[in-house]
Amino acid sequence: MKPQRFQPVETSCFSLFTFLVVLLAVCPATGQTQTEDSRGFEAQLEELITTVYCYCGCERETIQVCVCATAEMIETNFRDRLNAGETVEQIRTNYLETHGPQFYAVMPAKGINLLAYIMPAVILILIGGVAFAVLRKSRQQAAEATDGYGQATSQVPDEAVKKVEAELEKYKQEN
Amino acid sequence: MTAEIGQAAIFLSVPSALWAIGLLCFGLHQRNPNAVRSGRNGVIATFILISIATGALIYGFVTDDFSMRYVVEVSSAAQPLLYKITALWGRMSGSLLFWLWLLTVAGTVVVWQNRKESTDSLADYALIPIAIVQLFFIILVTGLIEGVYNPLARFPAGQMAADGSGMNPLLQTPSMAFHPPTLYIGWISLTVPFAFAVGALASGRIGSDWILRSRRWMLFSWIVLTIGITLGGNWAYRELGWGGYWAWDPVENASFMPWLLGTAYLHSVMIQEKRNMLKLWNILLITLAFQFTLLGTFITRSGIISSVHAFAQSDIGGYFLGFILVSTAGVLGLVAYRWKRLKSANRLESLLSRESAFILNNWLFVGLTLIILWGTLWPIISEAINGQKASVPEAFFNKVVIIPGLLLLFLTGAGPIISWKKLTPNNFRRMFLWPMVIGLVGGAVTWGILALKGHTAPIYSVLCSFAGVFVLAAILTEFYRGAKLRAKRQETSFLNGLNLLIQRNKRRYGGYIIHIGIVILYIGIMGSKGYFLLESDSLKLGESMQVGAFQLTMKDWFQEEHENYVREGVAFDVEKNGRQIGTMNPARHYYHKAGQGEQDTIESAIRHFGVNDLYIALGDLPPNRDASGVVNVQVYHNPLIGVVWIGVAMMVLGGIVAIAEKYQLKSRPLIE
Repeated sequence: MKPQRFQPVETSCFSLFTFLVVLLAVCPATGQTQTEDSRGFEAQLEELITTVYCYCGCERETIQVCVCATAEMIETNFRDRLNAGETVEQIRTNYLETHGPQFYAVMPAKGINLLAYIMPAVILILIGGVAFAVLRKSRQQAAEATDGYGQATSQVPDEAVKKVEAELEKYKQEN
Repeated sequence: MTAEIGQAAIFLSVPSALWAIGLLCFGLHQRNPNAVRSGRNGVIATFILISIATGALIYGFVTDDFSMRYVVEVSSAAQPLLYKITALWGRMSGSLLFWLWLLTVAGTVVVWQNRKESTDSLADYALIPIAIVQLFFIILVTGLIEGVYNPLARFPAGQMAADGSGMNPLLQTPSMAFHPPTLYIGWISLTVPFAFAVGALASGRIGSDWILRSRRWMLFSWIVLTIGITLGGNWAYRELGWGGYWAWDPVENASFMPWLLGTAYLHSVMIQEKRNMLKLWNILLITLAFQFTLLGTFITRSGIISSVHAFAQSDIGGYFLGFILVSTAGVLGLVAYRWKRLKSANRLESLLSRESAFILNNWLFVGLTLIILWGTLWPIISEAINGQKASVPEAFFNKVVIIPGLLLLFLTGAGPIISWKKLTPNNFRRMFLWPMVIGLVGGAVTWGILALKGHTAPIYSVLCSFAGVFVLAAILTEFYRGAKLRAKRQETSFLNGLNLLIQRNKRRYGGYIIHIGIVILYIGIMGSKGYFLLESDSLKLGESMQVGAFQLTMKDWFQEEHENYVREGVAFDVEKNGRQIGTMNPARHYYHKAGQGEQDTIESAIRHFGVNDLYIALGDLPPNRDASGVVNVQVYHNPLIGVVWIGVAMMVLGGIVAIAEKYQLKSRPLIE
């Protein structure tokens, strides 16, 4: 009997799975864009205080989360500037120019940062690909090793297989 | 004089460790039992010497010896005794000494565990890498290299400070008294399985012996790391005032990555034990896990990445990186030397089998680790590419780990019920069908509840609920079937049957308890991270703010004097749905001596409502603490956060059950 060929359905499953991983990993990375003018004052302020970090020294805390006096002062400043007619983008750009880009609490999936978002999916696919290749090779070798015994195995009646499985399950539960 | 004795002990431990390494290598190579015994004694001598040094430093803290530089930097006369002792790991030098001491304890325990073994046992081979790692740490604490000073060093020319600077106040909390040591113990106990793997490669005993001998160490490490990481999260929740317990800070990631790899290893060794496969992979995996403990230290201590753990930075990162590279090269050299013997004895029979599920599980764990590493290092990578250091927000990690995380959750249930070798249609119908149906119902119910509450498209919550309920159904069915069968056979009650079932196979059922804990943890994370409420406002006395069903009214200022700090804060009257339910007292602690840290800390007030928390943190207090004083108040309602702690407790319980399993080791003939 010929060694069993690798099931095409398994390859298809892997391809589908890879596609899903990529899709699902990349989908959350796409940012939502909103037009500022259509939103209310509080929504604009919230966008500002949730998208920049406080520079007070509390690591990686947005203005919204940071409880220090500096954060309070920055929020008041943002509020005043929004009232004065500046846009969210203007205020944020000015803040980041003053304090540095490391205070941006959002990592938009564009430019160089796109690489940061894509790489996790690439990592999963690469490792998955290696694992899959190893599994496939191992399975093929197993199929080749059992060549000659395959016919005998296939001749075991279904009833006997069921009985052995039931016994195995019983043994598993006991141990 | 005590400090001098301690310093002498550190310097003497250099020849002691070298003695251990040299004599063990010589004795094992020449089959000389006396040399091996002497090498073992070298390991014990190193432990005694480092214990003397550690004891001398603690004595310096307890007796306020301010002629010692390290004591001045991290302690003060008014510091409570507990925090004088925990100041041992308050900064770099002391942390390294403490780490080293734990490492020598581990080495001595390995000697003690194998005291009745022949002098060419696997443990003797394992002692060599342990002693090499010890030597690396000894060299770091001698003070002879740049970037770290000897923690027992005195100020020059008999100088003495009047008082110490005091420890960073953020570290003066009960959580911080236990969080670092538990993490250290977890990391260090991971050294032992790694050492056994290296010992197996060096000795050529590449069967499952090294896995059996190091299994308890690995489980112990896993349990302690789980506790340590959770204590860190709990500390952050209570002390940092941002209402969360996990923010993907680089140092949090550094502690989490070895845990992920350790968990992968705990699964993959089962395939080696049952099917004699994945020998090479297991060695590489435990090596990777060990190297990630050092990498974590490199990230923590080098200061290459900004972190809330900035107080721990120094210049020693390069030494760690060097040691990682050299030790990895050493292991890879041994792997190349033993290449032919590392091939699997068995082959995979089907891609739909428990073996495959374990490999899938390993793929996800290792993938997650590398993804987290990628995100952690992204600021450096982006800086190298375009000159700008990017800041990687928490949201990035949440986005990129969610899919592999959910797949792992599903495998938590699928792995234990899929059959070894090959999944048959019969096995699928019997084991998978009902858990899947129940899981779908669970997902639908979650969707319904969230839709009723106005949450749109809660896709991840629904997937999490589906996978979680599936896992619970699958595992509880396993418990039920097993217990019922055992009760029937022993003619006893179901509960007795359950007890007998667990007693009979603690490792397996301990693992299942861990899996249940993981489901509970996921549900807690889903609720607390996905559906928390945050409101902030500036309030005066008598003013109120609303958070969900809660109303908080600022009632009064308060002030309390403590030994080394003043506690000042605000009392709030809390009402839920219009009904008075008590008072909450968030505060700030102002320390008299605060070392290198901030002078004050945020002391959040947390009130539990079942598994939900109401959490209040105060901003800087105004100078006028009267009717006109205004304070910034942050209030969180954290749903299901209690479930996170319950889940972890369950995981630890399962680990304890699993570690209680006794193992039969094959005895080897004595060479003498």
